[in-house]
Amino acid sequence: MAKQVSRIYQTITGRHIPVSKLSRSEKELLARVQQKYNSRLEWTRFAAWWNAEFSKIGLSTESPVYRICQDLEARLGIQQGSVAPPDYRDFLADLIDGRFGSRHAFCQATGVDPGQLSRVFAGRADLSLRALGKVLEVLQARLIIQTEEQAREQTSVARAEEALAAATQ
Amino acid sequence: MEERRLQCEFFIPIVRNSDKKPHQPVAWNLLINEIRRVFPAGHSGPETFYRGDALVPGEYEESPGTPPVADTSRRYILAIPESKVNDLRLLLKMAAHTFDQLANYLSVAGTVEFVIPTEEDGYL
Repeated sequence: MAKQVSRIYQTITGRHIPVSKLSRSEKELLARVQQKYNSRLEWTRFAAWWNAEFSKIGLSTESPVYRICQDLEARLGIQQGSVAPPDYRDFLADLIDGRFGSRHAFCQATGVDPGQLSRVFAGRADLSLRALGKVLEVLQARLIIQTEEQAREQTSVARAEEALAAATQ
Repeated sequence: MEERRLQCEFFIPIVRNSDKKPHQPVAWNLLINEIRRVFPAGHSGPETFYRGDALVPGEYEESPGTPPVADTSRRYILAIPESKVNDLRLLLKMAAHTFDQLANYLSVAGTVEFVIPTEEDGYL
């Protein structure tokens, strides 16, 4: 019996989004998204398009397709120079979302000041290395340093195209 | 009878005010998540939100009498019930902090206002 392969989509922050168990409407939307994305639209046009499609179908924002579309939009924006490449804030936000579901739940569980976390996400404050270490411990994550080239590869439009092709097979 | 909806249009500059650098992906995600949370689109009926079709060039004055500064913004259009316009103002105050802006341009059914946040308004 053939072993079922678990398919995943990896975001610019390394988050793994399983795409093996998508509903029919999610798969159909993802196939249309793939087609549109491959035409490399201007960043905000792609955003307008996928948001309208998503609303039309009535999927929940909990759908993996929602997160994938946000990721694809960011990749286009980064490639076109209109969005900053992800920094530690984006990685933290994604980890918190994946592990706790919301910043509120994360702050309640860890005692981190929600105001301070919001200021960090807005780029108006930074976490000290000590505070970051504590947060990473709770999130079961670690700090790594990567080269610009590795970071570019991780956020590339082409990498997402490959992941989408695999997800919609 | 369904409540009357007003067309609201607002602009978010694509760079931060203080250092003119583009925003992190997380900022754009937080904005759209909040728009969808506060103004959920119905599964049928008129679409409640339409996201800007392109980047919009514009300009602003940093202070009266100074030459205008050119900028580029992302345009958003929402058709929301009249009773929820204030919720949009609150959202834009938080967005101003998250996107490092002194104020956000908002047009409600053609009437323009500038939404200026205070420190108490918080962040997205």
